[in-house]
Amino acid sequence: MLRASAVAERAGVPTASLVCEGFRGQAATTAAGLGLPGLPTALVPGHVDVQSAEELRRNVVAVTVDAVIRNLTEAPPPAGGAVVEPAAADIVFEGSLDQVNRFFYENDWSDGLPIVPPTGERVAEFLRFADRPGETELGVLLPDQRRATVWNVAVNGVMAGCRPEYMPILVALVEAMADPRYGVEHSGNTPGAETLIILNGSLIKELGFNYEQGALRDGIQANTTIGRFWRLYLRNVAGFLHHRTDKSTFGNTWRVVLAENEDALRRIGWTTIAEDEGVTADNAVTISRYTGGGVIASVFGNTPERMLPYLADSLLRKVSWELMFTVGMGVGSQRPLLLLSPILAETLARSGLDKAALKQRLFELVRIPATQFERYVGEWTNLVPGRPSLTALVKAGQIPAVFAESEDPERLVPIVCRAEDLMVAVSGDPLRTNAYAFAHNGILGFPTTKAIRLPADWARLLREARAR
Amino acid sequence: MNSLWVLLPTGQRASGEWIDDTLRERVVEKGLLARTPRVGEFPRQRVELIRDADPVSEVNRLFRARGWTDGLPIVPPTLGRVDEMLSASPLERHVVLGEMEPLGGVASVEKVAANAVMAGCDPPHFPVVLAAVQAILDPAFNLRGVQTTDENVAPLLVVNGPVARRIGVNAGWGALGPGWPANAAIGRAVRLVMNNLGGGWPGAVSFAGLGQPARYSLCLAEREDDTPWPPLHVELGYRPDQSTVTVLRAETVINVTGGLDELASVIGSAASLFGILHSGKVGVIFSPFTARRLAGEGWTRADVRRELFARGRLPAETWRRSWIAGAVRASDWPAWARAAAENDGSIPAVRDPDDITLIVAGADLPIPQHAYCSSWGHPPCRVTREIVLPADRSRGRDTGRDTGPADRP
Amino acid sequence: MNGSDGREIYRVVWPRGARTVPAADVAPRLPTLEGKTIGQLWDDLFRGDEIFPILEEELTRRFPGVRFVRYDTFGSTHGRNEQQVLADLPAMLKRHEVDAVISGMAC
Repeated sequence: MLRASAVAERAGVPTASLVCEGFRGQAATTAAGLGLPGLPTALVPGHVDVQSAEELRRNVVAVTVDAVIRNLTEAPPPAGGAVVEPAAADIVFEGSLDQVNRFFYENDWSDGLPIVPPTGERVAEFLRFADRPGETELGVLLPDQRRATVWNVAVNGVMAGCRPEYMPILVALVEAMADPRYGVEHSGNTPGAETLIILNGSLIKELGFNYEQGALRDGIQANTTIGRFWRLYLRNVAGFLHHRTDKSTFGNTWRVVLAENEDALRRIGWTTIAEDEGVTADNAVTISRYTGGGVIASVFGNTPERMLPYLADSLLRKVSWELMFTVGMGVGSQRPLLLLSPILAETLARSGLDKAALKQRLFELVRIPATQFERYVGEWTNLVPGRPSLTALVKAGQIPAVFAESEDPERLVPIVCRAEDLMVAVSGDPLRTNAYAFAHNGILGFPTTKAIRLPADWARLLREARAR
Repeated sequence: MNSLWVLLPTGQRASGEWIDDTLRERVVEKGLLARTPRVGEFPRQRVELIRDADPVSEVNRLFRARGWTDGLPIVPPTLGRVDEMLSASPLERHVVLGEMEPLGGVASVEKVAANAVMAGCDPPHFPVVLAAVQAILDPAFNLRGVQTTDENVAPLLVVNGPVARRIGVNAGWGALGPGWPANAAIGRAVRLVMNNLGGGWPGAVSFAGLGQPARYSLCLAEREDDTPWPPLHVELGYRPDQSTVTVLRAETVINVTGGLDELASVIGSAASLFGILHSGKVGVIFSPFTARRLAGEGWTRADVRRELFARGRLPAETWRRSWIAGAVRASDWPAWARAAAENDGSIPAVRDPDDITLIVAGADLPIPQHAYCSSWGHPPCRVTREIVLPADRSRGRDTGRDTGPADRP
Repeated sequence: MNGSDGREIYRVVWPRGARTVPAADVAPRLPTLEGKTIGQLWDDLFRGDEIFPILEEELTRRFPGVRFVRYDTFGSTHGRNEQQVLADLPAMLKRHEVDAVISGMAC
């Protein structure tokens, strides 16, 4: 919302930004990140969601109106000069391991776990595995509007405990982070969802990623350190900090990288996630933001008819307020992910289902009564303004007709707009009949896939790395 | 080699700039480098690791050279001491109280705590410091004016309520003088905050010609249990069990020995024309001996204020002949002052008896000792903030917001 | 490198990135709201649909000549088309002769 205010100010139009009490700290730091530290805000006391209509009116009349008038008629102090910050290769500190860790933690550059001190030598090691020089800009990240460079990717990679040979993946990840399609600026929002990184390609085996038992658990260096890198980068370069630009109510910590089981996919003739997202490179990463999810244990049955009702019901149970991304904010942007263990995928494939057909079947099965859908986005959460009915949205041409095939309020409607919106991945213990369903954060972390570029002498570098 | 981790107490604007960069320019411009030869020379981070055989002295040496002290030694704001100070805070360390004028350093609770450590505060003093900082951030205090004026105004902090007694803010013997740790440290913390977050450096940003000793610290409590009248905060509408800090802009502190006559005479002759120009609110620190005597004769606080209002008057002739009357347009003087000069031939020091803040403090002496603090500047200022203690967090007041006097909604 | 106590010393670099946007001044303010046109921008969240009408009512009471261009004119500032809405915003503000903006809701 402050981004819109910033645009208006730069166009020469003064603004008053309406800010609830709990957001004031973030407002100041976000405004500074937008380059407008003087951006004035008008306070709305308390939090609007817990106020009656009368209370809200009283508060707005007593406090907000005056603040709006002041914001628009009183000049704030001038912005002032430049901020002096370290250059990329400057030594900012010298000390023992403990001292470096303390310094980084106290300056909000660390996640509280020990970091590997990013010395010039270690960063140089990582840069050898990049296909571009250190000063190459990969993008500019909100909210702080800082440059993402190959260099600072390496610095954070060192800190996270990554190995230098992971560098191509780290670079691709940051390219994805910087892609406006993903929406990194939302990463500090109130629901506090967390990203899942999905890796495809030969790097899975070359770099020792886990794609079998415990695929989502820490313990394997590649999966784990790259997951950690992601959040360190969000902290240090995007600029998400507790109590300031991060306003997640609870938040969640980083997920380990999910590597797909491509042997299994090839065996059953299914496409990878990257291919589903339209990227056919040798190696690719996909990032997407999930609000939560859960294990679907003990999927019993040997035919789709016996397995799919349970899988569909489980997908349904993970989703509630996220339905706002199907019919409200970013219509059709909700893209839940179903993760199948190889044995489940193989069993489904044996009956002739490919991914597209599976998604179509799930689309037909994952259905919820219209009134319940409307409750999730209206009465219970107030997340779709005006609380229009699904029928009204269909009539206005905003959502597909499938949401209003009859007048019956208990008619069953899908949770996504199209079958293709569902995502299906394959990994995990190949012989356990478990699945995992992830609920998705819509346009506030939209699936974004990037090809991974390897340096020209990758093979030699990899050999050297293995010889260490 | 020993080391100390310290939290840097200096101000950083919301935009990320450090106020020391502006200060450096001003210091060089005004030829004041000798006082602060290391202005702006510090790592631009939140913390610094000081390594030295005697780190406490080294911190003092560095901070003094960087302009972060009031000239006296400070207590190094180590991370541990700041954490300890924050354990007494009703607000989390990253909460922002405001931006301190004139240079706009962000007053986070953490930075205020660092300055409180430097001033020599104990953790129980901290809630009072926070309330005082919030008070000076009130637009009515006109912090920008106070920090930059050529006049010598200092904030006067008056502490009321149970907290004052619990933490030992002195209201008796020598309450305005040295020797009382709470009085000294709380006032000093506010001054360091003004210096380090607001940038009010003498000569460079603050153009006060002389300053005054009260700029080191001017903080006292009011006598409550042993005075005949309800205390100031109750008069202002707070409950007796609430604790408050009331801040006035004290242009100066004038000692008055005697009774109402002497006090009125000083108020009249020392009436600040600047104060009158802006309808300022003055402070009177009133002898407990005189209070008891008058109360015995049936006088209330309001009676005393009315009496001082009526009798503490500046002759109209003095006003007309003053340099300021020559410098200011007649129409700029408030109507009440012009009317009084016309009709009565003399002007009261304030617009209304309510604009006299009466504080009963000092030793109970038969030769009564009072003090008069004329007001500086605009707008009229008497800002009160409730002192919120950390235990209050459990009652859901997690913003540490002042709930205001008891009878306000 | 080893320090005087024998422990290894690390010389480390900064993990952040350079800021790209220097601080700018906000737009000049208006002397008064009387006779001005106020645009409303909304992110479709947190009861803006209730708050904007209250603001309209109160501001009209104090500045009888004020007029408003409602939020539906501009589109949601936080929807699927956020980037397009923001890209179009300067032209839209000009087209509707908007003098000032009230933007909500950040909660």
